[in-house]
Amino acid sequence: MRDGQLNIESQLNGRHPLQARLENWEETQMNMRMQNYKRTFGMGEPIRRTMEMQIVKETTLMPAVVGTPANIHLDILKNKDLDVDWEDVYTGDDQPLDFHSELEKRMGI
Amino acid sequence: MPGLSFSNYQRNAHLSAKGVKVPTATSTGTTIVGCKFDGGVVIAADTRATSGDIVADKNCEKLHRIAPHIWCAGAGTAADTEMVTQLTASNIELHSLSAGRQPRVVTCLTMLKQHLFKYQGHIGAYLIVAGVDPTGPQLMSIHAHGSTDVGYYLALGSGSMAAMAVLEANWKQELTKEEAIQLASDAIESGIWNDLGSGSNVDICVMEQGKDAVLHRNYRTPNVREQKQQSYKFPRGVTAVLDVKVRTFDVVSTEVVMGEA
Repeated sequence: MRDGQLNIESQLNGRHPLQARLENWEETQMNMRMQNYKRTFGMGEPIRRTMEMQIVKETTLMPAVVGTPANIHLDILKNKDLDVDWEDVYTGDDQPLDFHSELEKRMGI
Repeated sequence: MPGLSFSNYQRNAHLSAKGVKVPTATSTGTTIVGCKFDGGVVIAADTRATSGDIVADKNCEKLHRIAPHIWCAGAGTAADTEMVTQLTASNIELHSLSAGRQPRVVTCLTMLKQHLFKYQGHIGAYLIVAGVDPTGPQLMSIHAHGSTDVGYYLALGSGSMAAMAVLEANWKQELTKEEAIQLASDAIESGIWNDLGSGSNVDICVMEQGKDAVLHRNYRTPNVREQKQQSYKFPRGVTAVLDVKVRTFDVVSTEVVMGEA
């Protein structure tokens, strides 16, 4: 309810064909990469990489209200540390969650 | 959401369904060519920017620098070619800084095609990428959906047929730098005269192995505007002065004096 009453219909229908593709882009690419690692190096490689990513995600605690963390560790693991893309230029006008909500979300409360 | 915004898509679709005319903001009429020669490569472009049937800019720049020795000619949506080449220029610089090597044309090509493929042709950039790198002179083209070509001579844009006719007729395997410049500018001029979407002047960029890239802005100007037969300027004092009013103002200023810490 943070954004007021949402119109579910407008969220499902009539969206730009590219939007869904771009929203899932990183995940799709990551899945594809992990699949390739699995085929070339065996199951251990994607497991190790997923684990490393998970560790970095869980140990970075910089509240969004203070400023979005740079997340250089995550960028390196995602192989994004040498890239600039539109997402880095246009960071979006989403209001950052307040600290309590962010922590609740993070801890799954 | 970060990235390109889709927030107006539904609103625009709704408005156009209600009968509001959707503005068309494309400028696709262009002639661009590229041609390899012994020890280098040359690219050329016309300088007309159109918006529908209106000439928006008579002398725009369609040659973009990606790296000091890699240049790119762009056809398609003007803003898209500009932004996508700037983004790639930044990425190439980061990449070569990290690798400690000179950037390569194939790297540019791969970056651009992967980016354009991701956006499924909605970024309307049709590019001819050319440059010299440690592997020699390179010439390649990219379409908006991400497909790429390699060739000794290439033409893109609405005037590509006119330009390609000239290239096909006059190109030969071993060209000197001067011959290649001549051929490329002839091809562009063919687009300028025979394609309505292209016009004005010829821009050229020459990239030679072991030398700085040279941009010849307005290398040929076959469309210089005629001098007006009469002067339409009014001489000073033609309009009668009816009244003069002078106001005086008191200027008040405040100065902040910085004390010592």
